[in-house]
Amino acid sequence: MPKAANLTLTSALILKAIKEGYSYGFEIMEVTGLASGTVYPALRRLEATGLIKSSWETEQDDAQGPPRRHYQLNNHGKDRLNEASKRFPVLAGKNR
Amino acid sequence: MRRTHYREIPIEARCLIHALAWALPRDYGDCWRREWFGESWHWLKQQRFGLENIGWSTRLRLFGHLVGAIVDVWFLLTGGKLFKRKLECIGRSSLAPVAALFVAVAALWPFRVHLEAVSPSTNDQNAVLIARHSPFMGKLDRLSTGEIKFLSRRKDVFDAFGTWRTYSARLTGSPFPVIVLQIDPAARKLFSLNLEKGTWPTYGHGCEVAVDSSSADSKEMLTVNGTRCRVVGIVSRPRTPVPYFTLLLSVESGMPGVLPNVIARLRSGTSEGRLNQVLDVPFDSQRPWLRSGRNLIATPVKQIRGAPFKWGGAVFLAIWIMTALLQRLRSLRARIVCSFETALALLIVGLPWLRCIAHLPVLSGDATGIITALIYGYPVVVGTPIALLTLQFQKRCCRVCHRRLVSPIKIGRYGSVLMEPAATECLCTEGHGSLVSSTALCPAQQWFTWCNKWA
Repeated sequence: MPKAANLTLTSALILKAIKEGYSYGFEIMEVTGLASGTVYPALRRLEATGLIKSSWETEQDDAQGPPRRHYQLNNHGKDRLNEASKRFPVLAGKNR
Repeated sequence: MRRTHYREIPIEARCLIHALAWALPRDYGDCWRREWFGESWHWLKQQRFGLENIGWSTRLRLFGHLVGAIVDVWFLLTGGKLFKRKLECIGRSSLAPVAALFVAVAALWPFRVHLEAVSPSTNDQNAVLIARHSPFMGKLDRLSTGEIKFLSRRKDVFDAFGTWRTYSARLTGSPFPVIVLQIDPAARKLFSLNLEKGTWPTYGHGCEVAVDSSSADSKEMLTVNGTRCRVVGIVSRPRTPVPYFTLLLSVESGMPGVLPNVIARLRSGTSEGRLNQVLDVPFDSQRPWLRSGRNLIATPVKQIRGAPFKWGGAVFLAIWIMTALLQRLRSLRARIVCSFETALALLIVGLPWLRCIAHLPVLSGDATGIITALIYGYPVVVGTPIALLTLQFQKRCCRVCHRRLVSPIKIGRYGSVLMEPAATECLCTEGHGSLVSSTALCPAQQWFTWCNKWA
């Protein structure tokens, strides 16, 4: 198990967005207002530290477009997000 | 990904994604490309219902998003290792190399007398520079008159023995100062007196007296700084940015005043032990408290000539090692940054200074004044603003991830000046920064309580 990451505000924000159901990179960018250069490295780091896991969409027909990689929160990530929510009150907002 | 989907993404975005994917390892690159293509396609689909006509504004926005792909690739290539310690943070800045350069310059300071012996006209064959090793911080000092007289009588060891000094002087009729390498007649054997007749009319600015005196056969004397001298040679230095040259002068009647430097040529076959025995001068009339014999050292001119390059290399190595120790060279990125900053510090501060050092023989000695002051003060004059700028940069830089501190946040309240004064603190894009821990790390409930107080 990799060493647990020290959650920053940005990382916590991304975890919060994933928890709220925004599971794709560009979606997370749009909902958090963060730049892609921030979101993607953060996603890599969170995945490496075992807070989130990724999986590929199943292949759809042509109309649905190409598959995307979507990210999900795991249990450890949920715990860390709860801890971070106490540190960063801005995260303790209304759910979607 | 199907071919039709592939073509619906604008070509510039496709090119960028492909190019970046090539930078990654093949197995991961395919996965990475698939992710970015998928995201781009769906984002475009979301922006417009049909992907047939994509406007320039949408293309630009997509391209803006894809700039993050560059960061993503860079992050993946470097393993995502960020500098998390304060020492490493300082090490990444230019402050460490500049500080190291100051240390190196201070360490090299005592060797400046050695460098003075490097003259373009010095004959290297068996030539040695004799100087006093001062007990004070290892400084090299010039010899006293008594010692010079004593050593000059040792014909069994020294084939030639003479004194020299350098200074700047202004000749009659010439608006520009010339650099004078003044030698006593006994030292003429030690210098290659190559007369370059074409040099003086070019650089001498038509000074007639000097033109007449630029011949070795000429008996005309030249008055330089009040001393009657004979011009015995001119050495041009065409590679220098300022077309200056060394005017070799020979004085007939010694050089009163400042103690000159001593240069000598050893007789062939003279051993080092024999030389050291001779340098064991029995007395020193000016400094009787010193047992001067063990303080005189002889350094070959050949060895001195390459000193600026050797010391330049040593300084670079020292700075590199110091910076490397600070950064611990954990990754390729650290090594690149370390080398880059070292080279940058040397380029900005060190290289011009070393270039001046190379010309020190003609600018040191009695050539005091603004030029010498600038040369010796250059590291301070240039290095200090760089250090201050670096400190300023550090103030606006995140201590954790080295990103720029932005997002100013108002803290405190204006009514509570003493206990918690109002101020603006900044956060980086990662959420680090200089927030007061009591505010940032307190439980949420307490935070809201304090918020109400501020309100």
